[in-house]
Amino acid sequence: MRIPPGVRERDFAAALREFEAVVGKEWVFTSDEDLDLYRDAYSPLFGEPEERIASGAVAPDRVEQVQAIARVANKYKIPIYPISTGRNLGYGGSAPNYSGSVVLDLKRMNRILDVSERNASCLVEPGVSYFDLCRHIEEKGLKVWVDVPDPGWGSLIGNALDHGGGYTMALYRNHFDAHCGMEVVLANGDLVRTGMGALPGAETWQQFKYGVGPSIDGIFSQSNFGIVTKMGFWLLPEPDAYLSGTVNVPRYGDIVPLVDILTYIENAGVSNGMPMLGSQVLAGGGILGGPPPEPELAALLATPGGPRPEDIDAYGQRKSIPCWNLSLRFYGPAKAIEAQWEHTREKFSSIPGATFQPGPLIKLPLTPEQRERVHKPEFGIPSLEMFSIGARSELNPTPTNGHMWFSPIIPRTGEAVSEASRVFRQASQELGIPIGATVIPTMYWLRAFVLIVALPITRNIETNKKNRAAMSRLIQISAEHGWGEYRTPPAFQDAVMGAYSFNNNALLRLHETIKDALDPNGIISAGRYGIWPKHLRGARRS
Amino acid sequence: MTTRREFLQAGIAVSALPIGAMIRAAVPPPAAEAATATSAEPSMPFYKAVFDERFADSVAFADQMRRRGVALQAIRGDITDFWYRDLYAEWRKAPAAIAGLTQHGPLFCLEQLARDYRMRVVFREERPASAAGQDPLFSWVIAPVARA
Repeated sequence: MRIPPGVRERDFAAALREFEAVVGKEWVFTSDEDLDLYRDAYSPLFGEPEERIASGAVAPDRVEQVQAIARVANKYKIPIYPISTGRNLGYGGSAPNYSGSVVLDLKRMNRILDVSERNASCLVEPGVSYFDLCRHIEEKGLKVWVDVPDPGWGSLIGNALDHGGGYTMALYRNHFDAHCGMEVVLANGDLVRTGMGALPGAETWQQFKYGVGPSIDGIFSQSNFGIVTKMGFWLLPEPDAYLSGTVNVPRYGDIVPLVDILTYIENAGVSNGMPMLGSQVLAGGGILGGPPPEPELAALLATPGGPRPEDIDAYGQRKSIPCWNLSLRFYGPAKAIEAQWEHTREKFSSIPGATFQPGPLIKLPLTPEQRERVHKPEFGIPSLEMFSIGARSELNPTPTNGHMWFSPIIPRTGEAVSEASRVFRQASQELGIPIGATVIPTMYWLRAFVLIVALPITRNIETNKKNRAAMSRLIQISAEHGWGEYRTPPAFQDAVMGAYSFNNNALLRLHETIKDALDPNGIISAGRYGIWPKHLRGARRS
Repeated sequence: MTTRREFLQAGIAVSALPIGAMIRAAVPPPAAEAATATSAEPSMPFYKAVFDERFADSVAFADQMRRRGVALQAIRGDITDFWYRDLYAEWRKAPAAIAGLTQHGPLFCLEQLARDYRMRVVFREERPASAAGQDPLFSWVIAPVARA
């Protein structure tokens, strides 16, 4: 039997017996075979002594059991690691930050407690997946959409708490921003509801986020201050229609006005779907980058120090390929979104040489035939299709072993896109890692871009060590430029949090103060996002 | 590769179908990898056999399974519909073994989804890609984990 570090065997045995008394013997797991189900399939430490491994797992099915488990864990000082469905692949999966923790597996808590079509909101437990909620909505014939990530097999609560995002309207695709109300079990077993949920009899828990007094929901995201057992979310009323369109601009330098106008039309509510920036000239490469460029373009992209803008422009002119393309999406009444697209074209026409490709106007709901052809997450439909796309390439010969995400936030400007590309291209050459010629934003928050670069995981320990060192260096390089990660795998959470170092890491010190107050024995998710309990802090900092 | 001990711990109901032998009969493995099949292997009913209709080897596997009376599920790389419309409801009722010959992506998805029902891959065998640049196929069985 595996034993949590620092816990006496007899205490662990006693705790397990008490866990069994709470949830039933069949829902406490200690065998290697059972615990292997909680290994992170994408762990960058896979097979190494440092791989994060659970020493047990306990699976409650209601909140009272979660409270009882917290009290037992406190009594015996057992480290526990709550997961919802454990599908945070690329950012840790279901394995604990602190090896030897007992996984608190909440996937049996999978009740959809409410879906309100009138309020366009829902209230769910942690084990509810996007598939579950969409199936419920479909079965009930409700006219609401869930904004889903891609892939869509994870938990609404887990994804939102880790700051995940989706593909529809800006109000909904930032999943933590789209939440409204929480229920949280604290380390001492106490039960708290936030916002209007704190007011007995209120019918507005999923309507008004703040209630009264300090708004504290944020401290339970990417943290270890409590165990979230319910969360409300706002849903998107099913739109009447969908329209997409593409803006093409010819020159490398056009990225600056292109992004400025994009930002304006999004912040002004003219374009309300998720944009997607691309380049037929500069994109490609990297482990997820598709086929290699043709020889002339490959030679251009391999120019020492990076291709010069004038050479990029000349190549594009010779081949009649615009340097940048920007896909835009619109949701709403057909007449309204056609007018929004027209206004969008007028705005981008200020860039000399800009051309436009309107996509089809799709009346919703989708027909079964349309459903097969579209990128499903843009229509609130969860999918696993991305796993069927072959990713094997010279740069990534074993895609089956997964990847880790490097995902810094950069300013939402064309200058920042150019500068980040320059910096990471140089880093890629120095570190010998496959990033690609140009790093193009992948996530689009209203006022920031997130770059997402995949570094491969292999089953070769030496290669993984090299890639981990590269990841650590990328985090450092990012910080030197004022770019911080929005999310990262457990192996790098100390480094990423350490980069947010203003005033001698005042933010982390505040986190630690809150941790010590709410969880003095440090039982919940030790080390998550760099927040260690007091008894482990010194060793981790050194 | 699954050990015989692990294989035997796939604690599920017995029927007339010896799984390792079936998989091998359907898709003969390279001789060096034919390690675990014996006539004493446990047998199990498959809820369905999953095949990818884009690949001849996978279609041949489906033909073999059909002749043995196993229900089939065709995919084209993506298991979303199979999961959403079918397997989810079946596994919620009770864990049920499935077999397949697919690329890694569908297997990986089903393996991850199976964890929620305390099932895992009890048999996995990579087969060389039949065409240059094509990802290899895997023959596999997912079944419930026996409690120690």
